[in-house]
This record gives sequence, structure tokens and C-alpha cells, in this order.
Amino acid sequence: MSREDARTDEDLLQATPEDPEAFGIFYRRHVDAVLAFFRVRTGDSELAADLMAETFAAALLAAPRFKRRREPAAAWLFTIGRRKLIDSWRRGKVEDAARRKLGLEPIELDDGGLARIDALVDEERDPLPLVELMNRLPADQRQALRLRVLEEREYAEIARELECSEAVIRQRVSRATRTLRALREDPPK
Amino acid sequence: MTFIDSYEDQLVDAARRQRDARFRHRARRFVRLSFPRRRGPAVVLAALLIGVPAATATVAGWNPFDDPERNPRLPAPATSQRAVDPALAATLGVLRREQTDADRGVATKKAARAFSATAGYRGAQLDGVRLLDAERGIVLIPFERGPVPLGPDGKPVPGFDPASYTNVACLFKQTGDGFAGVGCHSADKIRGGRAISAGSGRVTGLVPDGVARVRLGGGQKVEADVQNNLWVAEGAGSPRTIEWLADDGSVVQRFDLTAPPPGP
Repeated sequence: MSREDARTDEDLLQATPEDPEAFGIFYRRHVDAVLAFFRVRTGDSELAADLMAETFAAALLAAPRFKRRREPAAAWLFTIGRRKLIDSWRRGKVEDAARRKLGLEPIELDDGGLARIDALVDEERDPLPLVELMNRLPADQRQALRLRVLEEREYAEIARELECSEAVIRQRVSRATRTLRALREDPPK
Repeated sequence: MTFIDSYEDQLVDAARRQRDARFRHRARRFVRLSFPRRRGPAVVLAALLIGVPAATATVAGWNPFDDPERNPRLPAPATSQRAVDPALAATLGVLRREQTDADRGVATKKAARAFSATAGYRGAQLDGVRLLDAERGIVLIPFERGPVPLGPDGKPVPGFDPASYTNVACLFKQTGDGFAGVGCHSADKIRGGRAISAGSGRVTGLVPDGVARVRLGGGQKVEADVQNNLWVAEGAGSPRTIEWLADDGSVVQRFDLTAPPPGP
């Protein structure tokens, strides 16, 4: 078994500050999953590539502070990714602060890479990306679902922000979830 | 190779830079904490240096770091208008001769791309740039401060003396298409016979004026001629002894390199 295979993700992240190659191995292990995560949620391969680049740059900056916890290192990585995705929705663009801090050059997209991202998504299973499905929801449901599920905020906090009761928010999220499930099972033609 | 693959290289390069930056930070902290008493003499030295008249410009505007082909991610080290350290100039005759067009040539330009401010080089003294060996592409650039030598653990190597990295003559050698640092040596280090760097089957060193040839002792005896205060022994490993020979072959001085270096 190679050295690459022998080390866990947690080992690789903890080794990164002294062994830069370790982060390369961590990247190779997870890049496809991260790209697929963003591709499904954005429906756009170029955007997915941009978010992937920023997510790994942020992970590299945070690696010296990584500590073993109960959740695996991959979950830690996807937490960073989810935050980047939410930020991109809020700002209307993908931030590049981590890449600038590391002095990374902008990635030059190529057809081979974009095709690889497209191939990561199972078109049969994901007939429409989540973001597109969400756009089909009524505005109040879409907003409640975004704040609760994607931004992981508390019901009480959302209720305060939207100036309505917690029960109303729960109802909107529940309805939105049901609608989304129906749309995925029977997508509109 | 797609951008997905090449981005891995970018990340690993960035991780290296991050690691190196942490090493340098630790080294600076180590120096601050370990050698507080040296600040006094350092301040006196700085005051003396400020009193040294600025060196006459070599060629107006010539600066090998001002190079459009330089990697923008490697910030150029600051240059200094101060004259080369008088002790270095007194030790190395090559620094006392006039600078030539060859000294300011392509080899120097390429060598200047090899290092950056982030590696710890400060105050390049352009008046002192010399091409020592045109055939091997070995260039000398004096710096007010060279990089602190770090061990694999990121700490300064054992026996590190902060004085040994101020006012240094740094050597750069051609390696394929690029250049690499060979070592930085202070006047004391050169006069103490320890301005030696070994690697890749080659040993390189600087010697003071008056040394015509060196004889390396260790597994096998190797001799090398001195030119421009530089000697290069091909096919040699790290020596255990070095003898300085005069023109007539007599031994001027002998150094046991296995013995600890003399204290400051």
C-alpha cells in the first residue's frame, strides 16, 4: 500500500503545515466530490470550479488549525465549501480572498476539466440542479428554505429576521421541502 | 492535464510558501529571544554603517531585480545604496575591482530571479555583484542580511550565530535553466576557512586574497584552483579538512572542519 493510501484525511491535514505534498493528496481525494457538490447546487460547471478553487484555498489556510474531532475531515472541508456557496449567493459572486492571500493565480478553465465536472453529475439522478428547482418555489418558501437549510440558521433567528412567528417559518420550510421532493421525482417538462 | 490537476500543483506550491513563511517567522522569533544582548552592538554597527558614504552607482538604473520575466509571486529583495561591508571588501579582492559588463550580464539577471525577499534576503548591494565563474555560472551578490539557515525542524541550525548572516557574500550557481543559492558567507566565516558549500557532487567555497589553491581532505584528497576568490571542486564530497595553499604550493593555513567553529 502506498504512503498516500496509508494516511487518513485527518493525518494529511495535520501533516500539511510541515509536508505540503500532503495537501496535494488530500486535494486529489476530495476534488471530485467537492466539484460534484457545487455542480449539483449551482448547475454551472464554471461556477463549481471557481467555488472548488476557493474552498481548497481556504482549507489550506485553515489546515494548521485543523483539530481531530468526531466528524471526519471531509465534513470539515464540506463545511468550508457550504459557507463559500452561501457567501456566493449573498454577494452575487464567488469571493477569492483565500486565493489572493495565498497568491494563487486564477484557474484557466479548459474543456477537458469542464467536461470532467459535468461527468461527475448523474443527470438521471439530478435532472435539475437544486438551485434551479428552488427557483420554482414561491418566494416566501424559497427564502425560508435557503435560510434554514443552506445557511443552517435557527428557526427563531429566521422568524426574527422575516418578522413572523417560528411556526410560520417551520410551515414554509416544510412545504418547500415537500414541493422540492415532488419536483425531483416528477420534474416539469 | 486539466485545470483540476494543475490546481493541485498551485496548492502544493502555496503550502510550501506557507511553510517557509512559518519557518522564517519562528527563526526571527528565535533570534529575538535568544540573542537579546546582541542588539546593543547591532545598533552601534548600524550607526557606523549609516556613517559609511553611499557607494558610487555602478551603472545608473541597473537593477537585476527589475525584470519583467521575474515570477511576480516572488517579491524582489530590497536593494541597498550602502557600500559593501568593509571587512568583506578587505577579504575578497574581487570586490575591490571595478564592476564589468559581464558582472551585470545574463547570468546575474537569471540568478536574481532565483531568490526573493520572502526567503529572508535583505539589502542587495548591487555595486558588489560579481560574476565569479562564467563557465559554471556562479555569481556573487553581497547582502546586508542573508537568510537564516534553518534545519528540517524549522529552527535555526545548531550553533547558529546571527552575526554570521549579516553583511554576507551570497553565491548563486546555475542549475539547468535556473539558479540556486549556494551559500552566504560573512568575512569572519571566509577568513575562518568555513565558507564552504557542498552538494550534487560539487564543493564550492570562498577564500581570502593570497590563497591560490585549496586542498580538501576527507575520504579522498582533492585540489582546486582559486579564481576570483572562488574555488570549485568537482566530484568531491563534504571535506573534513581544508588547506589553503600559496602560489608556491606551501600551506598557508590548515582548518579542521570537524572541530566546532571558533566562538564570536
